[in-house]
Amino acid sequence: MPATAEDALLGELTARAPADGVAWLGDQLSAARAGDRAAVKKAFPGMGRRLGRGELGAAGALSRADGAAVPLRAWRMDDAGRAALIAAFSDGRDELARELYFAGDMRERAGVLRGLALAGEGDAAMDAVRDACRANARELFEAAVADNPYASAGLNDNEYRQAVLKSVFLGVPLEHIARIDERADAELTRMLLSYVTEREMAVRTVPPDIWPVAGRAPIPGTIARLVGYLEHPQAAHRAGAARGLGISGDPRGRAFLEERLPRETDESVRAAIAGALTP
Amino acid sequence: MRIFDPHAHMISRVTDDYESMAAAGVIAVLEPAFWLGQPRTSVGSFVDYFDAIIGWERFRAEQFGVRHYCLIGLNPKEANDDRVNDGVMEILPHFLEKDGVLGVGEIGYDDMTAKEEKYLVAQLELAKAEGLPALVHTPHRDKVNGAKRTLDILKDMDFPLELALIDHNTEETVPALIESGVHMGFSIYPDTKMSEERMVAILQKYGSDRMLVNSACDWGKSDPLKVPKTAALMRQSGFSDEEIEKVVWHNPIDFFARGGRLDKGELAGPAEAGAPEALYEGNTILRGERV
Repeated sequence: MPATAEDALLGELTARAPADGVAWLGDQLSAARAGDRAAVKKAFPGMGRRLGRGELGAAGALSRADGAAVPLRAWRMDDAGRAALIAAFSDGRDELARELYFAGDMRERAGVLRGLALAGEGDAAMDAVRDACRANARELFEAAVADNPYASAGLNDNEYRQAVLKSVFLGVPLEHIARIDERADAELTRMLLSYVTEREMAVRTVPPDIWPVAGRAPIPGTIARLVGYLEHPQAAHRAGAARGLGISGDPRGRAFLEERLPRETDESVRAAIAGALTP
Repeated sequence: MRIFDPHAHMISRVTDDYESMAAAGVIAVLEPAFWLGQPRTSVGSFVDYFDAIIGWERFRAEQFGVRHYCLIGLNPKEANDDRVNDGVMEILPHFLEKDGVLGVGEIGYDDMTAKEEKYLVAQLELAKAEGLPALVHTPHRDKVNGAKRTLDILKDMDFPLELALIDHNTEETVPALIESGVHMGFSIYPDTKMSEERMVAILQKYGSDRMLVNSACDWGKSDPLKVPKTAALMRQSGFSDEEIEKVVWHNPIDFFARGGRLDKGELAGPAEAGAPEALYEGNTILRGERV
């Protein structure tokens, strides 16, 4: 096991990035560990030229100091280099990250958000996260909201709900949002179902990952809606609705789940229904 | 005919210009940082300007299949302005690291003041330390002296002359520079500075080594098609396709590639126009076609 998060990222890059770029990053990490703020700022923009901009291709996750998992599935090569630099700079890390964010282009900003996901500590860089949550660029918004325990801990309830709703709008998978199981509340359910109504009125679709989240904190009408989607022609919606009903624990859903199971031919939906029926 | 226009202030141009440049064979443009026609009052205006020519302008160009690069620098006019000069020098190293930035420019003399010289030298030192090319323009007035003094400074500070491009040359400045090893730029304007006819005569007299032709199109009266027009006149005047392409394509690319930031492979690929619905940080060049 590498000693630090930045060593782990350096290891991921060693396997995939150009050797001279990795050697250069090693030097920059030493400077960052020594607290050389100017070196970090200078190294930050040119990361893509040296390490590449393609997908990092790492399937696993790293752990934050507080134990939260930071999946690397959406990271790019330059993200890894930038996040490693931020993680290696310990004295005033959040303040430096914030400064780099507001001086950066979109790739640099995404790199800052990855670094914060991995090593952000206090509130000092939260306005960078909030700025990215308001961005229209999906790449930037996703780096702020998805696989980012720092953001999920720092956003207040209203900001968190808005981030989830915007994720639905932009197609960011809700299961990638850290702490969604514990932070989903009745107000979020109301906002999500209101969005569903708006889309249904316009004869448009919604992503099926709404249903398990709505099931966490049902409001009047939620269970009926989930029961309705249990008969949806698309398997993903039936599976999502089944999970939502199971998570809600509402006894009224049980009869509909039992009635659907013998007719259900899709294996993934059958598994979801079986799971929902298991106490 | 492939064309690289090594001096074009595209931030001042409309999308029709990109369209006609692409149709005339302009595959890539280089946008040196310059002044805006009126003085900026704070360093923040420079930050926004640099961000714009590095980011949004590059996106705009890509929408028409034109590759866009830029140079970052403190222009000579505003080098005289104490509200901004030192502050801009502080942010230059950061911007020089950004993707798409090929070097330092445009810098040089305007009124040949002490301050202009101070910031010219400081920026040349920066380029030298980073191994990046520098675009130094010659002043509008007292041009020959300006060119000579620029060359003296480059030599005094041991600046690698193969990384120096001295721009806005005329018949008068070429003799002072031709033997030095610097590259020479020529800005072809509708009325002033240099015309296609004079440019062809210079190429006939001095040859095509280290010669670059640009439109220097900006917010003033200028023509973004001056490089293809010069290429056309070269052809009519008996220059071979190889020689024309050397001047309007290979010379600028070979020069700027010396800084290690220009990817020749990227330029060799076909220039494809970006998707019309593409977004730059959520913004688009489309008007009224998106909800």
